[in-house]
Amino acid sequence: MAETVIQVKDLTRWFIQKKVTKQDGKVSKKQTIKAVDGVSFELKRGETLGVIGESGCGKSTLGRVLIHLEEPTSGEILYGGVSSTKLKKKDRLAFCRTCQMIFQNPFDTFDPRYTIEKIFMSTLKLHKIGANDAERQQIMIKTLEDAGMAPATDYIYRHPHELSGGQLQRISILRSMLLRPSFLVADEPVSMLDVSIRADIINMLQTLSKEENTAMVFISHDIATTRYISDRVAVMYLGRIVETGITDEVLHNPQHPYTKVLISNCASLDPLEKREIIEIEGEPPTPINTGPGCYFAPRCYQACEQCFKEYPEARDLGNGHIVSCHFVGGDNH
Amino acid sequence: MKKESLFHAILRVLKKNSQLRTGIILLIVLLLVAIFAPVLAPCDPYQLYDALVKPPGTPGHLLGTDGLGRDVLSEIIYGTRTSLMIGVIAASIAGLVGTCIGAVAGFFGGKVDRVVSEFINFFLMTPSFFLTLIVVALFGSNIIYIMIVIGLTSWTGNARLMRAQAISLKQRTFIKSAQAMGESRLSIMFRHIIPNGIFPIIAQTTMNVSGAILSEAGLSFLGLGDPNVVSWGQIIYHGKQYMPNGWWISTFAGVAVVFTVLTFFLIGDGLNRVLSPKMDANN
Repeated sequence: MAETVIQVKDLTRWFIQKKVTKQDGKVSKKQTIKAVDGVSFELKRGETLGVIGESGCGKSTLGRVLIHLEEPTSGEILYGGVSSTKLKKKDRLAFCRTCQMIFQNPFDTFDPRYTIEKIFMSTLKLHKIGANDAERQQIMIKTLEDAGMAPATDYIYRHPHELSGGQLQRISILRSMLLRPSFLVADEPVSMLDVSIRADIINMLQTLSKEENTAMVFISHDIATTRYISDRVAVMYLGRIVETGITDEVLHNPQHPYTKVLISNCASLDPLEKREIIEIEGEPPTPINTGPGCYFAPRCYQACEQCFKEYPEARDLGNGHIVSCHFVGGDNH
Repeated sequence: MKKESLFHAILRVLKKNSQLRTGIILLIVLLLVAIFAPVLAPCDPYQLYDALVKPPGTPGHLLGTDGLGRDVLSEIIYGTRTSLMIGVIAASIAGLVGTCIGAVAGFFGGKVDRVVSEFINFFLMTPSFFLTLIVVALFGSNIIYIMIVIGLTSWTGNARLMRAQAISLKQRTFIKSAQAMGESRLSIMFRHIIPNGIFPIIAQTTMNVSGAILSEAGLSFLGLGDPNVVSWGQIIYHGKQYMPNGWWISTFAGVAVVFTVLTFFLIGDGLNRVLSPKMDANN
């Protein structure tokens, strides 16, 4: 068994909206926005977890909380069994070498005033990789050329705005992987890129994470991409994971009604394929003052009375396939 | 593409940006005038000649004389030293203080921001000219005090600009990515927030140079300028009394002020373009 890299227990991230008096004299209530609301999972070395869900379901917030760009409201993140808060307090740089993040927008990931060379050198210097500048320069050039950006001298004297999104995202991935993290968050790394280079970036991400044996959380709303890269997937709805399991099992045999809806609406290249598109009504709700029942119940096509009363417990269907729905695996229907 | 030396980089930039080029040429002229004032000035600016309020073109006095019989051209030439020094040093102090305070308030946010913002508001509502007056009245009208006091009372505009810049910049991905790379907050502030948000401050500082020159002129008007040095402000306010029959006294000193303000504006705007890599690419 491979060692467990990250363990997340009941992680929450709530945003408090303060009482505001609007211009027309109305006072808005103090509201709690539950962006991430009790997420638990664990990853072993080299494993990739795909997180899918619609916009605003808390995917990106989850990613940022995992690497402590935002502090969790409650819950625990354990890296190799040690609490992340402790790790970060003890040695911030060591913590950064444990977990890294790839951002969605490659055009804004780097300081626009820095050349690619300076971006690499400052990172290497900060983490004391390489004994002197000459050695660091060599590391930088080797890293770039190994990733197919040869000759490196074509790139390193340029500013970020002089490079394409694909090149920038590659550099972003390379820079993060230079620190040899044991855990990586990729927050929609290809959603802003040209379709033609998406596969390249995904392959590169996969190769590097397999080489370094890095555990990865791959956040995306593109089910096809997620399926390609992930070992397991987690489907998120309003800050909670509603269904998780091995990728093929979840995607081919979805149990939760939300997962079914999500997959049935996914575009397919085969026009002859017989598919039943399940349509759901209503806007995606906001995670404010969620009721006591299942969060999906107001939009669910099979909701019953019980769904509005209590949040369904997570049920294990075996083989790590966990679903939170009253209709699945339970004894009531 | 090879790395070029700093000198060549500066030359290349100057060749491309005519605004900056003009500004720097004008600044060099001003600096030369200030440095070689004793050589350039035809007369001693402190010497009182017998010819009072003589119009320009009077033999020996190219720009005429003022109400006390001093040579206006020599006064303006020597005044360049005072005005440039006051303007540049006071504006730099204001820029430095304002940038640091504003960046701290904007970047750290929360309670720090609230406290610092109140501090900025306190300075904003204190009439700065009045504050300057009190300090000068208390500590004497030494030119060094005047520069420091003008600098320490005019930083609020810079601070508010920098605060706004910091607030918008800290939401950008590259700040988040620097945080994820493990850079400390202070390092992010000085390496990313301030260099990327400094452009409006540069423009503001060039404006502050002229503002400081004018502040010093105001002080001189109230008799609180340093009486031991000649400054354009003192010439203008002296000439104001002679406006009906001696227009040249204030006018030429005023032209000198306009010339200096223009110089700093050109440099500020030019730098603005050069320092921002994206704008550089557009040129």
